[in-house]
Amino acid sequence: MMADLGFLALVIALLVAVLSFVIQVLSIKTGDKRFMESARGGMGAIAILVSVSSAALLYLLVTSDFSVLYVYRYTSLSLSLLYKLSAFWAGNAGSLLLWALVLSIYSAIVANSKQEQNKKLMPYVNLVLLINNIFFLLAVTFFANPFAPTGGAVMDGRGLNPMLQNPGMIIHPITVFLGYVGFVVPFAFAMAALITKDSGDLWIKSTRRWTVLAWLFLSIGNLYGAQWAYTELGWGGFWAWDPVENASFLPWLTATAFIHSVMIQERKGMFKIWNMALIIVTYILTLFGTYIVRSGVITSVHAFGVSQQGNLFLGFLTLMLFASVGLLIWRSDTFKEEKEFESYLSRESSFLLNNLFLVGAAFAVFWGTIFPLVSNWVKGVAVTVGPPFFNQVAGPILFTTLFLMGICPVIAWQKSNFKKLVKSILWPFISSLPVVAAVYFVKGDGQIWQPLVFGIAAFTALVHLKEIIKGTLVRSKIRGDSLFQAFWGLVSKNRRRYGGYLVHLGTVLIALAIVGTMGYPTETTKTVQIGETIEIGGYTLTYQGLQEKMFENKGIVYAEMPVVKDGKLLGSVAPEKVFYPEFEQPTTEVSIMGGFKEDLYVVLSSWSQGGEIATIKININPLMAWMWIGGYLLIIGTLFAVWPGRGSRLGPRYKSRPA
Amino acid sequence: MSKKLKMTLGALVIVAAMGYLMITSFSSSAGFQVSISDLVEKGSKFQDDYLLVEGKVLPETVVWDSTNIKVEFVVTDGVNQMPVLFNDVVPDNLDHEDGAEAILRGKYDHDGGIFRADSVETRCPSKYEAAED
Amino acid sequence: MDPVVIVAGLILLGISVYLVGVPLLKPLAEETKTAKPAVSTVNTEEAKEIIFATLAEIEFDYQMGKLAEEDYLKLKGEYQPRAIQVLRSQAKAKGDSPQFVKDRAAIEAELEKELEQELAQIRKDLQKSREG
Repeated sequence: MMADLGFLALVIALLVAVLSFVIQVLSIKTGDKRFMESARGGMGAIAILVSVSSAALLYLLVTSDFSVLYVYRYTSLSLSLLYKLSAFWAGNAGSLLLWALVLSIYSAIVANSKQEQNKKLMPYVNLVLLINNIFFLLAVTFFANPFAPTGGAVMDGRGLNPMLQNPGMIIHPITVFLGYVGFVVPFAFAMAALITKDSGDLWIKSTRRWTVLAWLFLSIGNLYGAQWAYTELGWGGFWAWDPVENASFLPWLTATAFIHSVMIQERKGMFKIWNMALIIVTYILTLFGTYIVRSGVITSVHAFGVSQQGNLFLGFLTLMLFASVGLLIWRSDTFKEEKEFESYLSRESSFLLNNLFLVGAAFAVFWGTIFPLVSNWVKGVAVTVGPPFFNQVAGPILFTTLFLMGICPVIAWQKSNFKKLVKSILWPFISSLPVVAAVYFVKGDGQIWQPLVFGIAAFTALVHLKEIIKGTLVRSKIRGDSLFQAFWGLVSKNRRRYGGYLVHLGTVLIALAIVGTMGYPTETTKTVQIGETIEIGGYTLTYQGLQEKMFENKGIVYAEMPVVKDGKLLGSVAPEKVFYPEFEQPTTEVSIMGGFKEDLYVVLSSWSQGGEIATIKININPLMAWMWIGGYLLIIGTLFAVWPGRGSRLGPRYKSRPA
Repeated sequence: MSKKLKMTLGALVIVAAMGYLMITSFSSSAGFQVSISDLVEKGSKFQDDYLLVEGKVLPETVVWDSTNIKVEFVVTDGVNQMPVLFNDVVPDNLDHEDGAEAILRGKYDHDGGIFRADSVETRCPSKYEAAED
Repeated sequence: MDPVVIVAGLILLGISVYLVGVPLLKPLAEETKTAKPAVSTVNTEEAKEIIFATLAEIEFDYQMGKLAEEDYLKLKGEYQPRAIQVLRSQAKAKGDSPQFVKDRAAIEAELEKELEQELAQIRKDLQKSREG
C-alpha cells in the first residue's frame, strides 16, 4: 500500500513538474505574473510530493516490507533501525530518489524565496531547475523505481552490505548529494543571467551562500568518504584514486576554483566568462559523477555495475553541456570584462594562477579517470592509469596550490611590486625553512618532496597567522581599539575573509595528514603464534589468541593485543572479524590507536588452528588525526564565513565604474 | 607586447608545464585493461605491461599461505582461467561462495603462466545489481 | 489498488492542483500590467553600504600594504565623492528638511576635512619613506 502511494506521489510529481515547466514558459511568453506564481506553487508541490514518496520509502524500510524489492535487497529484519534508514541510499534507485528529494526541496526554496532584485532572473532560474527536476523524476519513476515489487513472498531480506554498516556511510552519501545537487542552483542562476543578458554579478551574489554551502557539503562528504575507506576497507589508506572517488573530487576542485574567482568578479568585474565556464563545468561534473557510478563504463569497486541508466545520464549530461556552453558562446559578447589586468603581480593575477592550478589538477584527474574509456574508443584497448599517475600529477599541482594559498592573501590589489611582496612573506618564509631542514634530517631518508610540503604547509599557516595579527594591529591603530576588541572587530566585520582563512588553515592540516601518511608509510604483515610479538615503529604488540563475543546479532572474533612503547603500556588494540548473519563472509574491522603524532592501524587478517596462529597487518599512519581536525576547522571556517548577518555580506568592490 | 598577451603567454607556460607533467607521469604508470582470455591466449604480448584484469574468483581455488603471507587463487572470465599470486593478506570476500568479482592490478608472468597482482580488490557485493536485473 | 491509496493519491493531487491552480484564478492585478520600476530605498541603502564598506576596505587594505600608494589615492578619490553623492541623494529622497540640509553640509564638510587630513598624512608618510 505504502509502495503504491510512494510511486503514485512520484508520478504526480513528474506530471506537476512538466505542467510547471509549461506554465513557466507561458509566464515568460506573456509576462503575466500569475503564471509565475503558479509555477512557484508547482515547485512547492513537487517538493511535497517527493517528500511524501521518500517518507513512504523510509516507512517501508523501517517496517521491513519485503514485498518491495528495494527493501528486500538492502535490509533484513535483524538490521538496526539506523541502518534500515540509511539503506535508503544504499542502492541505485534509492540514491536517485534522494537526489530527486534534495533537488526538489532546493528548487522549492529557491523559487519561493523573496528576492526582489532577482525578479528578472527568476523565471529562467525556475525553468532550469524544472528541467533538472523533470529529468530526475523521469529517471526515478521509469528507470529505477525504488518501489518495484519483489514478486514472490520472502521471509527476510538480504541485508545491508556490511561495508555499508559504518557511521561514515550514513553521512557520506547524504552530504555528497547535498553538495552535488547544491551546484544546480548557481548553475541555474548563471544560465538565467546568460539568457537575460544580465552581465553583472547579481547571479553570483544571489547564489554565493548556496555555492559555499554546496562546497562545504561536498568537502564533508569527501572527508567522510575518506574516513569510511580508512576505517572500513582495511587497506591502510584513505584514498585510492578510484574512479568513483575521483568523481566526487572533480567538482570539488572546480567549485573551489569557482569560489575563489567569483571574488575577483565581485570586486573588479573581471573573469566573467571564466566564472560562467567554471560553474557550468562544476555542474556537468556532478552529472558526470552519477554517470560514472551508474553506467559501469569504468572499472571501479564502488560502481553500481553495468546498466542502461548510464546512457540516460550520458544523454542528459550531453544535452545540458551543449545547451549551456552554446548559450555561453552565444552570449559571450555581452559578458565583456570591465577591467583588464593592471599588473602581472597583483591579487587578480594570483587568483588566475590558483584557478589555473585547480582546474589543471581537475583536468589531470579527469583525464586519468576517463582514459580507459577514451583509449578503448580510439584504439580498441583500454589503457588504465594507476594511483602513481594521480599522485605524480595531482600531488605537485596541489602542493603548488598550497604554496600559492600562502602568497595570494598578501598580494596587493591592482598593482603589487616584488619588493613589497617579498617583505610581507619574508619572515614566514624564513621560519618555514628550518621546518624543511628538520623534517629532512630527522627522517634522513634522502626524500625531499615530503620535507618540502611540510615547509610549504608551515609557510602558508604562518602567512595566515601573520595576516590576522597584522590586521588586528592595523585595526587597533586606525580605530584606537584594544587588541582584543580590534581582533574581534576584524574577524566579525569581515567573516568572509577570516572564515576563509580558517578554511585555509584547515586545508593546511589536511595536507599535513596527506603528506604524513602517504609520504612516510610504515607497514608490516606477520603471522604469529600465541605469545609472539610484532614490532613496528617502536611499538610492540603481543598476540594473545582470539576471543569471541556477540554484539546485537553479529558474531565478533577479535584479537586483543596489548601495545607497549618505550617500555610503557599504552593500552590495547582489538582488531575484529565480524560475522553478519546474512553474509557468509566475515568483514574486517580495523582497530586504530590514534594520537596527534600517528595512528597505529591494526587489522586481523586471518587465523588458523582455532586461533593458535593469526596473521596481523599493521600500518603506522603519521599525522592522520590532523585530517579530521583540519576537516572540522574547514567546517567551522565555512560556517563562520556564511552565517547570516553582518559581516557575511558582500565585500566592497574596486571597480572604477559606478556599480 | 601587450600586457594581455604576456599574461596569456604566462598562463600558457603553466598549462604546458602541467601538460608535460601529465605526459611524463602517464608513460611511467599507464597500463592496459585486458580480459583473461586475451592474457591466456596471447600473454607474451603483455609480458612487461602493467595490467588491469577483471574476473570471477573460483572460491575453491583460494589457497592462503600464512607463513609467507601470500594468497593464490584462480580467476575466470567464463571461458579461460588464470592463476593469480598476491603477496599480501586475503582481501575480504575473496572466497565468497558465489565467486567474488575481483579487480586485479599487476603484471602477467607469461612463462610461469601466472598473474602477479599488486592489488586485489573485490567489488562491493551488494552492488551486484546488474547481475540480477 | 487499495482504496486508501486512491484517497491519499487524490489528496496529493488536490494539494498539487491547489498550489498550481490558485494563483491562476486570481484576478489580473493592475500591477502585473504596469510593473513600475522598483525605486526603493533598499537600493540606495545598499549602495550606500557598499560604498562605505569599500571606503573602509580601501583604508584597511592600504594599511595592510595590499594597495599601492597610487591606487589607494586614486580609489579614495573616486569613492569619497560617491559617498557624498549617496548621502545627498538620500537626503533628497527624504525631502530637504532644513535640519537635513544642515546635516548634509556638516557631513560633507566633515568628509572633506577628513580627506584633507588623510592626504596630508599620506604626503608626510611618503616623504618619510623617501627620506628613510
